Amino acid sequence: MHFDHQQLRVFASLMTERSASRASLELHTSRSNVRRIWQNLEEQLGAPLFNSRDNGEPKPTPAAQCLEREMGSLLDEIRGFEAAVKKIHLNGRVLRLGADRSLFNTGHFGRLFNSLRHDSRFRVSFVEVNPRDSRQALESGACDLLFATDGPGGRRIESKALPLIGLDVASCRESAEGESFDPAALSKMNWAIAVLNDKVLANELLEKISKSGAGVGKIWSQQQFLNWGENPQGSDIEAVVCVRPVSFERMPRIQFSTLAADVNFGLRVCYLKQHPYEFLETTVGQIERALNQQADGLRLTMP
Amino acid sequence: MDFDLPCLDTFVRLADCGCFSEVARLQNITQPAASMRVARLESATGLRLFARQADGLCLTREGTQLLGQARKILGEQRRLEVRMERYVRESRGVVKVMIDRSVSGLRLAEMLRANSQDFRLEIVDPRGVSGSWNEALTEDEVDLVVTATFLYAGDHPTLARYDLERQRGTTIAWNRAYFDFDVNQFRFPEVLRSSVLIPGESLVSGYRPFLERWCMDSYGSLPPDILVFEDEATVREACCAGLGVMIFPGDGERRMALNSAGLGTIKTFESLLPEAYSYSVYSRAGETNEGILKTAQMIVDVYPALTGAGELC
Repeated sequence: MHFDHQQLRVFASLMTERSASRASLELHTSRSNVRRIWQNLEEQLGAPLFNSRDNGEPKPTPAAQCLEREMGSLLDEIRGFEAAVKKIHLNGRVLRLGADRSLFNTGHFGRLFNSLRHDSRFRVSFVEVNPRDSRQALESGACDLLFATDGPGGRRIESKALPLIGLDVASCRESAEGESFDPAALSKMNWAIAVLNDKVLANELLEKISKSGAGVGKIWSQQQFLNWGENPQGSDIEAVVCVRPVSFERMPRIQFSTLAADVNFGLRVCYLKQHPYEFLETTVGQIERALNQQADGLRLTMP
Repeated sequence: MDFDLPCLDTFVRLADCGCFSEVARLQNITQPAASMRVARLESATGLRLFARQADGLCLTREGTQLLGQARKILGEQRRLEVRMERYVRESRGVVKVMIDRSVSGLRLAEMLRANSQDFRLEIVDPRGVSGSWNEALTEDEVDLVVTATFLYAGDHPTLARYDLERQRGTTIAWNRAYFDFDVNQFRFPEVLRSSVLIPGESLVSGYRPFLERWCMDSYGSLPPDILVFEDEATVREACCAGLGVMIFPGDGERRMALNSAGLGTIKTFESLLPEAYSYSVYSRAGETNEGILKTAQMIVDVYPALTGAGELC
């Protein structure tokens, strides 16, 4: 003998409606489906569910009454399960944002993190994801949304472009707040570009910057840039083209100014197409809007 | 919330063993189907229940929170099925009897099948029920149980028992080609130096824990291997094949006709374990169903005719 959730739902509806067509309307299913389940229940019980009476109103048989009585505790437990799920939803589901540490260390990321933090549907946390392991992190569920300059591809993964990250120039020279940096000024200096994590992308960027009159620069890793920040005099590099890291707030001698060239880092967000969270797509829209607003003074270059 | 109970079942089993292929085998579905079921439950609840790591699956916090409730649902589902089965049996006047797989049990089943034209009997062996025999009886999965028990194993406040037979001591049997025990100077600890063949919980409940405790308490060690058998015909064959020394409570020699198989046998501990082995009919305490009581009476009536012949079918 076997009773499934669906069968019991149909049965409960039959007990109140006493008709296959009315039950099918209530359950939003076909009449033949209700009839099939009805028939299956009668076969299992070895007795009809209803006796027709003279006045036409069907009356439940003792077998049907017994099933109705006995299934109460199962339905209670199922309702308990649904209530437990609902409670988790009310408390906010956990949304894990994965990114490389250099991306995390940018105001751009801080802004999107903050925009999600204020949403009551979930609680956010940050997970550091090495770019090499990004696909695995998504598939294993270690993170729900992955942010990267180039996300992992694949048919299971949805990948969307977010507003671009503008570039700054870090140097020790004095500059007024909001002043932009002319690429031509770079050609008179030793300079480098600090990449976020993608070397191929870095070459393209370097070429673009050179074309806008900046001469030839080096490619630096994020770590080299951070080391330079600690002791700029110890190196012959005078300026670094970079995405402004949050951690440099602590080092006032390094000045940042906008690079006045149409060159940017791309940013993508990736997530599993078949993710249990139904809200990921709308959340991505929300992130996009938050990044397009220039609310807290963090600079952003539009394409 | 759109999920079904097979999904929950897959979820619970997966939480227990952490391996898709194992769960697929247990549920008799393919591995992709098993992972589909979990994905369906995850999208119905809008929660991630498992973290899929390189070294296997592990429950997320949400999965852990829901696991207990999922178990309760499946437990209730099973109970509902058992209760409805009982209802159907009662309405049809069918009595379900579980009989163990001992030699006399097999014969009893045969005789009941031949004698039950006037009312309907459904006879199963312990493989046909989901848990232990006393759970099956208290939870209405079966109406009567005929089985052997050792010492107090058959005493439950919710069960009523009628002993068909009680037997003394313990029977030890061996294949003479592999074991040259001297019957006149028999020492029990010698038996424990090789593998032993003993009855399992569904054949003589309470015997295995008793024997293990006795070995540890009295002799300070366990046999190298304890092979547990759930039916007497197979253990007899295993003993004839020389797989180990058979240790069975009561008059095993007579019950299983061991001498006729050319085995060496000895009966010991007769004064230490008087009547510890019993072969009994169990029903739920306070049973009032007439069909069940009539069946129990019939078992009691036909049983004496079965014993004594001592021949293995």
